[in-house]
Amino acid sequence: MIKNLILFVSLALPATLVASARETAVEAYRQGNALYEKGNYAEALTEYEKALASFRSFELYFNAGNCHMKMSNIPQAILHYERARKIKPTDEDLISNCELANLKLTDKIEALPTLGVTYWWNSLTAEGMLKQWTWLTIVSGLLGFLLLSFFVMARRNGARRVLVGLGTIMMMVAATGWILASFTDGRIRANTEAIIMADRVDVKTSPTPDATSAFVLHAGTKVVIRNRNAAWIEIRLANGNVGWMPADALEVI
Amino acid sequence: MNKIFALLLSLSWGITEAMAQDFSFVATVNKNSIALNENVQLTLRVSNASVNGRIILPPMSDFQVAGGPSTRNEFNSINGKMTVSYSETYVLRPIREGSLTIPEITVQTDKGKLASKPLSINVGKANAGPPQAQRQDPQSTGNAGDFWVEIQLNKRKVFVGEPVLASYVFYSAFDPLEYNDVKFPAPSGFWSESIDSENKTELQVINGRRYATQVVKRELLFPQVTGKLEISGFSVDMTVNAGGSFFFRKTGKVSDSATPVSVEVMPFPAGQPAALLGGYDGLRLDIKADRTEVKADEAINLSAVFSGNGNLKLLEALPYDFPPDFEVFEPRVKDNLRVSTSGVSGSRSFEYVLIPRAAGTYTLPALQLSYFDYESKSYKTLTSPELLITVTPGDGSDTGNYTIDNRTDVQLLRQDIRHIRTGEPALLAHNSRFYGSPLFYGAMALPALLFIGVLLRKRNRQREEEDVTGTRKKKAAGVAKKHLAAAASALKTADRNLFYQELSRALQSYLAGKFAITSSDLTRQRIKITVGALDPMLADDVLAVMEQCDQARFSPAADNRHAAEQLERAASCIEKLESLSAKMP
Repeated sequence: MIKNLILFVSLALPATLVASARETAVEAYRQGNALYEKGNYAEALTEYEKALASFRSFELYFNAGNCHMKMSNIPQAILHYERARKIKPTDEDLISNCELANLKLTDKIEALPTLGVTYWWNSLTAEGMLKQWTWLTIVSGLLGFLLLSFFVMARRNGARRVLVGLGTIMMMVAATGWILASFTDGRIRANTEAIIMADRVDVKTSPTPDATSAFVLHAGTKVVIRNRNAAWIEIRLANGNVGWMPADALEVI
Repeated sequence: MNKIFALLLSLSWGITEAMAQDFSFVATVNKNSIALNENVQLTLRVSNASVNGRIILPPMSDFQVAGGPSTRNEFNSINGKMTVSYSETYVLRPIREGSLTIPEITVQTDKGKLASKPLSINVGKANAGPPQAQRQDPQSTGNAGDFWVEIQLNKRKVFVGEPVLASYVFYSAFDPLEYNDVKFPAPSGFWSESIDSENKTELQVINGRRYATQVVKRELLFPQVTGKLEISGFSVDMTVNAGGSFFFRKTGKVSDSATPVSVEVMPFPAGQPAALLGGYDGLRLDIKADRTEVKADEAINLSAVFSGNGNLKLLEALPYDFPPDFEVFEPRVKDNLRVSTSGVSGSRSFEYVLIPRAAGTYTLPALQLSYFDYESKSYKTLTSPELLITVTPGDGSDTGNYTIDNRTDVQLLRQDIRHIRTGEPALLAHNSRFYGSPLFYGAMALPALLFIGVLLRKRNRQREEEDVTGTRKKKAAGVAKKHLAAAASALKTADRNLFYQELSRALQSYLAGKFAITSSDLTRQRIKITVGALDPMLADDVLAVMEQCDQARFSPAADNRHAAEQLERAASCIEKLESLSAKMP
């Protein structure tokens, strides 16, 4: 009994703290929006950053990206848009703003065309979907087990047939949900994409300062991280080129 | 007679007048530097003056007279200018080494007392070979040669690229009049740079003879390959005044080709650095950028100036790896070179125009360039400083390099970004995600455990049920026997009703227990199927016994003669069923 009480308190206390942090974050977001509409982009940005310190949110990243765009800080804008894209990849406003930001970049990299299937899969495993997949897994799993339990206990043949059918479907739904959740989670954990923050950076053929430069990248370009050691990161461009660059020249999305 | 005498007198007066224009007394030697066992020729010449008696040598402590004097009278007329000269030549031998002096020599002439300048002669160590009384020239043996040509080099052993000064000279005992043909060598393996020469004829006394000598051409030769390089092919064919008097000139043709000379060209010594510019003397490099902080798309002028001695024309543009963001134009090359007998000197400059196209901090790395210094015979390194260029973003007004692609971009840029989101934000916690947390796994495990519990319970119950039938099976024969025994005792007491009841029960309980049939399902049909599966005859037997039992029970009138027989039949039926069912799995 006492054990249960302690468990409850330890679970409930952070929950209340999180709730109050949530309120301050929302307050900062509203404040930021008001400042943005007055044209006070720098101050709006600090408000958004305050909220982003404790939460991740599509709206916060999108609005912060807009502030950076208004202040002509393109690489930072792209970084925030890309972070927003991770949460909700199909948002139309985001895609439009992202395209505008990319037009101002120095590097024009011809991306390999993506298939419709890839787009569909990317939107299924976007960060914002994790919550849905998790709950789908939990609920359908619970239902599935309950139905199967009833099937086991039932004696009447007709009822048994219906129960086993429904239970199997629910279990399959749960399995699908779990698979999607784990893919989404893996994607969030991987942090495989990054934006170049330095004005320009020499991408080398090997992770040493005196290696020959393979190509030069400029601020705002999106790269995929393939490999990393202490000070160097191996990157791949959208067009397939690969090279090493100092880790401090980019920021992980 | 008097008239003629006066004419002659006036004529001779005129001549003397002309002679009196410049009179001189000059002492010359053929060499200024000799070995101890060599001789030096001293020529004393009096021009346009008549000597009273002979020239008397003063006492000389450092030389002894080895020969002479040989005397000579000459009369020359050049461009209407007449020269009468008298000369005496002595051969002197030095007594000791060192810087020796031939003192001032005086002579009494009709123009007064004339004095020559003292001459100094360097006397070195004695040569090992025989004394070189006269110059050895294979082409001009015989009477010491009237005419010969020579290729004179200032160095015979050089490094690759080190300049050699070559002089093409002729010596002629006769007055040269004109060239008929002159051929100069075109030596292979050299890069040549000719020097303007004055083409002045000089007089030189060799072996007591006077020679007119002239440097026809001088050039600097820069050897480009190693090994022994030969220079040959210098020849002169010219017309000379071969003796005779002023009035009766006897012209003649002379020609000679020079002995080939060779230069030994050595490669640069070992330890050659990777980036070697070549061989120079005192090379310097200055790299300057007019500014190091520019906006994007603004030009930077970078100049690199090499200065020093050597063949600077061979220098190439700097091995700079300019950043790819720089637009670099071909450098303008400016030479400021002087060619002299001491070599080529001056400067060569490369002027670059760099236009950075993107903002950032760029480093033009320090250059390490090496060259071989001929003077010190060692490798030297030039170091240029590292240049740091800061490029700030341009104002975009200069769109010189923008392509059509970018122009469409600019049009697009006029459309503004979409407005911010103002709706309720969906906040996601940074780290605490529900997925993968213990709570998630708990939520998944709970229904699973429930299901497993249900399964286990069901299984237990089934096992229990199976156990009931099993025991009934085992006990069936025993129960039947009990009923048969009861029937047997009822037969003895002649309780007919009980007997048939027990007999019927024996069979029924046995069949129900053995074949797990509930008593309500124990119909004739069921018995026929179940037992018939084992033995159809036996099924008929069992059914016949049961029928008789029923008939006897419900019709008391029926005779009971066969009661014992019935008992026996039922017992044998059970026995047979028992043995048959034992064979079953």
